[in-house]
Amino acid sequence: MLRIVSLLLFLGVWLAASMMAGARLVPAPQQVGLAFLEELMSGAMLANMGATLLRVAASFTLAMALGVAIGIAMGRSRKVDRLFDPWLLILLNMPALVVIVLAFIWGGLTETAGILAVAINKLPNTVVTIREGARAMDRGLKDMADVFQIPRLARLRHVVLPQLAPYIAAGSRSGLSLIWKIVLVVELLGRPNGVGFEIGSAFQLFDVTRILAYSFAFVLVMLTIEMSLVQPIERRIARWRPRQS
Amino acid sequence: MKDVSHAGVPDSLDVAIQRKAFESSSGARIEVMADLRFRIESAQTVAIMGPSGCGKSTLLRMIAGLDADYEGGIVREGQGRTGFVFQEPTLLAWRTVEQNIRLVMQRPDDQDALLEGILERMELMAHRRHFPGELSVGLARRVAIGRALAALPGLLLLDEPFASLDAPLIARLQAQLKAELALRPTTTILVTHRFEDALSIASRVLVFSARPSHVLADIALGPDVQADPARADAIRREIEHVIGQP
Ligand SMILES: Nc1ncnc2c1ncn2[C@@H]1O[C@H](COP(=O)(O)OP(=O)(O)OP(=O)(O)O)[C@@H](O)[C@H]1O
Ligand SMILES: [Mg+2]
Repeated sequence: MLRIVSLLLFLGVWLAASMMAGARLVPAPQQVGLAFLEELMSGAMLANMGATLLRVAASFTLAMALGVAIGIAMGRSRKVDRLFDPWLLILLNMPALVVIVLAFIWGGLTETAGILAVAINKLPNTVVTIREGARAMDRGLKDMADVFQIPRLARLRHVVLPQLAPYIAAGSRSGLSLIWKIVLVVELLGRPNGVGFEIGSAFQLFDVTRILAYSFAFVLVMLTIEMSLVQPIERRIARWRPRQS
Repeated sequence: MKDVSHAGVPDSLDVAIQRKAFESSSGARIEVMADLRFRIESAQTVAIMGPSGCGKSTLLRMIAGLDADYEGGIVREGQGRTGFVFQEPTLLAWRTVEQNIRLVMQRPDDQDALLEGILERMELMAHRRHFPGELSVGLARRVAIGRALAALPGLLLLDEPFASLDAPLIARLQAQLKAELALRPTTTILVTHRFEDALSIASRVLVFSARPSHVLADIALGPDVQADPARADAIRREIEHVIGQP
């Protein structure tokens, strides 16, 4: 109920702003909706959205896989942690833009360079989160796995990953929202398609309507993914937890 | 019944620890064991009693290979695996009872007969699909014992498996455990605070001194002792006297 009120309020403020600032600076909601339909009909919306989503998926997978592996290694071994902690600090504080620009300079304006740039931006966050989880792992369970000589793969699947699951979920959640923002910048700077590229060209034409149409469509898609994919997976993982009433 | 038979002889154990110490977080050294020696023969069941903090849990961890930081040697003969019932149940909260037990089996997918047998005898059939968070302490202990047995160990280490359970449950668990050990002879070490536990399962009890611990007494508990309450009581009182706690 309050959500609907909130939504209506938002539309109201938007309309008022549009009337005060003029349609060129702040186009009205219905104009944006029309622009969205136009882009949808021409097929441009789906093509761009698809290109962006593929990039999000690729860099997300890469960052999570690497991040989990490195995070576990750093969380488990003090030596590895000491060795790579300074690198982590540098990466954590490196502006996203620098990583992207350098990736494109060294790797050319290629798909690989773009995806790598996004993944590297996300990597340090994942590592820090997973390292936290690896440090918090239960020592007793590790002893149990050692005593009973549980094979590597089974240990990873049944002992290690379930303990890391909440951390992986937290990393994925913050990761997804970080990644799709960075993907747009990458597309703006060095890719010939995608939502970021479209917004970039709309910016050059000062076409605020198209910018808003793409932005809202994209936010909607990301929200849908979050609700239909991330949350159900989290619920499934948490199945064993005693229900709180 | 093929799964229940064991491959080879249960392990035997030679413990000769010159010194074991811990460094406390404040930097002080805590001497835990000094000149602790004993031998356990294959298929023997031995109880260890001793004052709290004398290093019984630590010793089990050393025997299991979880703690190698000591002076001296622990020689184990036999290729058996180790079954450990930790002082805490140490179950995977996110796996069901059945999955927890299956996890330690050497061939988790084709030892159904073994699994069913253990669930049956440990009275866990009704709980096989439950998660550990849904179990009482007694049930969780039973799962931990069942898991240790499912590993078909050559050496079974039990760290106070009956603590904080009520008397009838303890009696049932002991009967079940005895039946398991009769079915499949296994070298067993039982750490306990209660002489009754030792008497019901073990054929021998080692009494440890306070820290730094060594063996104070090595007492046989044959069927003759079990059949003679007066003698058992005398031994119990002697042990309590030696340990210095009622
Ligand atoms: N990791 C450790 N670091 C420092 N001290 C330890 C450590 N583990 C055990 N100790 C100390 O070693 C001594 C023996 O501990 P242990 O848990 O083996 O005793 P226990 O005989 O099993 O006692 P209880 O009967 O209460 O279970 C204790 O004084 C304990 O404080
Ligand atoms: Mg103990």
